[in-house]
Amino acid sequence: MTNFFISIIISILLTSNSFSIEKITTNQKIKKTEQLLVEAANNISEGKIEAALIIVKNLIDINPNFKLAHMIYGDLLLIQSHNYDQVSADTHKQHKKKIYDLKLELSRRIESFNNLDKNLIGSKIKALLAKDIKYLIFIDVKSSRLFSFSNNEGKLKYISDYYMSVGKKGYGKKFEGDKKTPIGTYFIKNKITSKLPDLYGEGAYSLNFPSAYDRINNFTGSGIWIHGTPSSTYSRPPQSSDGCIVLSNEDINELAYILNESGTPVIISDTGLSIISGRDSSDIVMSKNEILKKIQGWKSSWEEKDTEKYLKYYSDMARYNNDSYPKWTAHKINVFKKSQGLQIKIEDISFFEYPGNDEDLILVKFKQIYSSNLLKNEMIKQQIWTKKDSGWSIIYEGGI
Amino acid sequence: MKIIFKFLIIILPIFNIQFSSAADINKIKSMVVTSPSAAIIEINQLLKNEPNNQNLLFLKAVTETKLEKKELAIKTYNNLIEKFPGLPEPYNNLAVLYAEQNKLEEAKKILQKALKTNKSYSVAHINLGDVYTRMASEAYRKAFELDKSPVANNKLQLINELFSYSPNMQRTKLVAPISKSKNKSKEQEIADLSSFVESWKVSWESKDLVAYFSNYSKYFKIKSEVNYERWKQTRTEKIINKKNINIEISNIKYKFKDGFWFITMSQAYNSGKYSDKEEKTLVIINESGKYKIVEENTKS
Repeated sequence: MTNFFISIIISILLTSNSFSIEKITTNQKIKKTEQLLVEAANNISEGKIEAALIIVKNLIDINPNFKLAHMIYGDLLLIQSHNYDQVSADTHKQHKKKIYDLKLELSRRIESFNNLDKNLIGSKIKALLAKDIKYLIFIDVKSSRLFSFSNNEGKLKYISDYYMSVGKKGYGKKFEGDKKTPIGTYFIKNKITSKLPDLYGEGAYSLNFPSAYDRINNFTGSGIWIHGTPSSTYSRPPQSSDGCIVLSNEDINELAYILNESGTPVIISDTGLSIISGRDSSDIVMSKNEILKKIQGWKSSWEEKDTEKYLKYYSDMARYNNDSYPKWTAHKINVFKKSQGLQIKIEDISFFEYPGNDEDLILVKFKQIYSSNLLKNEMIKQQIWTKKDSGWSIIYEGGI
Repeated sequence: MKIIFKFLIIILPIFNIQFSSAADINKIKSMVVTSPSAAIIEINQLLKNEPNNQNLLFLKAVTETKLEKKELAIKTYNNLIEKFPGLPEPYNNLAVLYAEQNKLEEAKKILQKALKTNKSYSVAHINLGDVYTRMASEAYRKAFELDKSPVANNKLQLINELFSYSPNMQRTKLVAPISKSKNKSKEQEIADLSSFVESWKVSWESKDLVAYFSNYSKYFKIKSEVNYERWKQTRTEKIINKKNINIEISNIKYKFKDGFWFITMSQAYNSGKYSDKEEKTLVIINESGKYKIVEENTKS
């Protein structure tokens, strides 16, 4: 008899087969929720239904509104009853979508327990953190997982990771109302302090979507936040928001100290954890050095007012603030001619990979101190660099 | 929820010699049905002399339940369990009372204890299954954010008698074996059996319950030892609730052994919502000249 409940349990088992309990208990960083789910799965695979029941009950006691745990609990109880076939067939038919969502949540949560070494992930993400940035958040939409890192002398040090949900229609936001979560690199703007509906849970933090680069791409929309869950539920299905990133209240509270840091970078990636963990750390180090060198080269060409060399750093499609290439280059050449005693300092250089594009993109952020006979100013600048066959070039530059 | 009082079969306790005569107990048993409030006075009177009489204590709890004095009944059952931890019935009834109060976790534990005292105590098996179903239903309600549980609450079965469960009965003792081919050829017999199977199938498909149940022997039993009445009730609910039932039978084979006809077949069942395929064996006896199903076994 084919049956969907069996398939739920089997799906837990299949995915949990690849690792052992031992591995789990030795990793102290692992979240309690997933740990209990995996322990339950292991008991089920050994036929210890009573033991599995106790563990799942424990999960429910900790999070009384954890729907996934309730469903597994129901399955485990039902397979012990004599009404199994009828109830499961009826329930399946009536709640197809909800069951699909919960199964997806389960497999996503379990996937986070694969052989991925979380302490290594930081070294596989292309990012350099200046001292003004304390933390970085990396979201892998494909595995419904959010990772937090601290700044350890410019490198990423793993802190924690959480299950999270994205838009109903997935990711790759382009337009207002498309119910997708944007892919790219953003920054926390601020905590929303006005009174919010219960839907947003115990905290909401805004992101700078659409960014200047998004606007160049004519992306529209607003109000992309990282927020908690309504009080009626512990978690939401993997694809359930209008484009926001949704964490459980427990997790949003645990992350509050990071999210409260305005300017914290949030990389929302569709690259996939398997590809990221398959990257070679030394390649990452090399390309980081390469990028740093490029930035220095760009800066000196500017300081030297070497127009030809300077413009070579830019793609001929590059935008400068909102200006098109012909417009801003004409202006630059004019300024170069007039300005004397040019001094440029670049400080606090950070950069981050910018996912979601066919090409390799890097978002660079730094403080620029400019001084000439015409103008003295300090500003925070962003550039987006792209790697083509001909090497790295800037496709966007602008002040914040 | 209403409790069904059924199966008031008078079975006398066969061990534990008690002071109260069997006649006393029998008198009280009928009083419990006709005037429970008088019965309780009588029981309490007798218990003064014999506070440890298990039959009286059990009757007291049954009567208290009947009088809707559930809390008192719970107390009495607990007292009984403490004194006679080896009897499954008090556990069962206590669990039913807890289940009524929606203390399902509690009910589950107590039914498991009942089964520890007697592994083949079928009523506790059935009740435990129902408790599991109700707990599962409640879990699904929470999982799928429903207003009410997706499965109607099953009524749990109370036991009104101590020692009411029957040990596994031997099939051969129960039924008169068919004397093979007394005046029928084998071909004729198989043709008759074939039309019997056909009418059984048709009665099921057409939801003609009277005809359907008439195919079954009064000795009919399924593996989990459900008693006949209970089984009938469950079957009725299962059949009546279906819109359409469609059954296809193939690979039918007939075999005669030890006075029984064993009919094996592949059965494809489809009720629209649900379908399955089973290998089924019907064990047929001849009951006063009529074919009756005495066992129905499946492997899927």
